[in-house]
Amino acid sequence: MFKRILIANRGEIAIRIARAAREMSIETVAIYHEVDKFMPYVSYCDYAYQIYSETPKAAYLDIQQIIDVAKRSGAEAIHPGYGFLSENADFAEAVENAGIVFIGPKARSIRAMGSKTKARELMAKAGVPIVPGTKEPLRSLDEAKEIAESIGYPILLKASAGGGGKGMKAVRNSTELEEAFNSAKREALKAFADDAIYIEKLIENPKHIEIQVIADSHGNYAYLFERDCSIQRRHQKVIEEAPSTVLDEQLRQKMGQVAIEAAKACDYVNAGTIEFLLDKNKNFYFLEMNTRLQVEHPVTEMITGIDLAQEQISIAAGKQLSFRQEDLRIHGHAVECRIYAEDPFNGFLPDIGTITYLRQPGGYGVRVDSGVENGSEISMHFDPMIAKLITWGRDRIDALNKMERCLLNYRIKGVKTIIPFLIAVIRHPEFRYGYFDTGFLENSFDFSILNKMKEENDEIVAAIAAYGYRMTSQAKRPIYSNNKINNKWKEKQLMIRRLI
Amino acid sequence: MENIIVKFDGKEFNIKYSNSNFANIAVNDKIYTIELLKKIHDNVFSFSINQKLVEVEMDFSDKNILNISINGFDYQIEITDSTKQLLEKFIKSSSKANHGIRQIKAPMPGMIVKLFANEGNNVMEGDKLLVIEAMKMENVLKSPISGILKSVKVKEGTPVNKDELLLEIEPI
Repeated sequence: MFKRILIANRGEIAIRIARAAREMSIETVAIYHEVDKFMPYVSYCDYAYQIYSETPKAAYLDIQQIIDVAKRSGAEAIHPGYGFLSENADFAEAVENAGIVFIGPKARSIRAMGSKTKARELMAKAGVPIVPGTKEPLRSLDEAKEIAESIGYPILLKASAGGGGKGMKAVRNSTELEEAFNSAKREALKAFADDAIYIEKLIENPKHIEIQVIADSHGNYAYLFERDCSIQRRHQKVIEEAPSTVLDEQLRQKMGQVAIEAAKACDYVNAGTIEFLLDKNKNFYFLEMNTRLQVEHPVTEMITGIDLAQEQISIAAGKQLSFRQEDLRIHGHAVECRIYAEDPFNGFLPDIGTITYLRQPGGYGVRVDSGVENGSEISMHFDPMIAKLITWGRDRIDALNKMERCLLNYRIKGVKTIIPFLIAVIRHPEFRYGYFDTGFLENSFDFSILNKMKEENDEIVAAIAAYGYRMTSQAKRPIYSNNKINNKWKEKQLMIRRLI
Repeated sequence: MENIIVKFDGKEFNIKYSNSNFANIAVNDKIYTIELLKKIHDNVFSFSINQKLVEVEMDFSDKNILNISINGFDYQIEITDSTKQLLEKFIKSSSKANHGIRQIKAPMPGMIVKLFANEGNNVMEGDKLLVIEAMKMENVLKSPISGILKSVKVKEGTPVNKDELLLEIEPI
């Protein structure tokens, strides 16, 4: 096993990986740009190296510099986390060429799946069902128009190198095409330094079901069931869960087998995810393969008991899978909410600032994978996701009840977060009944409920404001209550409170 | 203590303080008994309101606005009294300068990547005005009113700060 690994990432996922490594008695090396110097993940690791770049993001994308740090630090392997260089085949290749182990698939598998157009071709050959669309990047707007006409609107424009909803635009008719085409290209270029985009038929309101697969270098493959990531806002996943409410045992097995075939088709090693769209008639189509650990991997860990990050590390070290397919059972239900620093009352625009107060929920069945602490600075340099809240319950309703309790108890001050919005979704009757698809937020969810939830506090807020106003305008006056105190203990408590 | 008016989210609440009992505050004539239980952190307090416990963040740093947040909901509160309010109303109705001109400010720091309209253009409510990019996501700003674009303060490619003035629209 490795003695020391480098984590080529930041934030909550860096802590997640460092936890896994430490439990395996492996030392961890953090890298950080100056802006991240005080982030908790840096101090969580055993060693830390500063990396330099003109922009903070570019530092985490600097292949040569990261490999140099790995060599200097004596790390035997590099875990890329998600985002940044995790799906960069050149990086995986450069790491291997430097004599360091890349904790992930082989560069050729990343390359095969990295270009979505090539991946579709490969999957079609392997007998995996795919959505109608182009296989080549679009050369021009005219070509886009032609293809859109031939497969029929609505269509979806997607970045070839993309992920996370960036560079992705839905187009409902030909008049919208030009603007969407240009906008998708711009976003793709900014996010992935590659403006190649392609067209796919838009399957209206499907469910987003993904299968976790894992393979070792000895030819053992396994699938760890599905995750339902249908609650998305502008193609960004918000709430994920496992298992899905719509899969029966038969479909689960079938999708699992197809996912393994897909992984085999690209000679896959390590943890990966095959994303599918599931339509109303339970037909499923290959969407893409993520050749890395997913943000939402914890829900799978919670229901299977398998630590995916540890499994990744031991596979990279040449070990066999620690379990067999037939050992796996679904145990209970897990839900994950992504805590984004975005303002749900202002079009979900990202919010920045310093976290002045943070209190995370806890208790039975609760897991918080967080990248921030009191005093952490949330900047506009990185993705606004600051933490993930995961709850596990014996069944779905149990997990959701825990989730609601935890969200109500989660305190993040200093930046706005989407927590009130998450509470509203968790309470939504259709979501609770498990009746939802990727169109849920667009079609079923009434965003004005947020204002109604806010209004419920109105009088209390007015009363507290009045209290606070008097407190500050008459600062010298002690805070006292005229209620009769006939209890010595309580009197003492009140005395203490007055001193605040 | 003089009675006050608390304003937020376009609503007004009449506050009456009790002179005999500091804990009693009437909001629109409904009495609330409030006790400050403890200070949890800088600006974070635990209150008991009619024995129900709530955690509140109160920010007093702004002289004119009291910022309160409860359970992730934020309230910008303006406190005034009846004389002040009368005066404000008078000033508002008598001043015609800048009357009705709607200023569009940057909701967040970012960069202007696209402008859809030029100075002097007519815009309808809901029309796209510009695209601002932040954290690699493009966000479209739409016109809140119908009117004429009186001024455009930014160009494509301009980086902007939060609350920076972007456009002014004169309603028709």
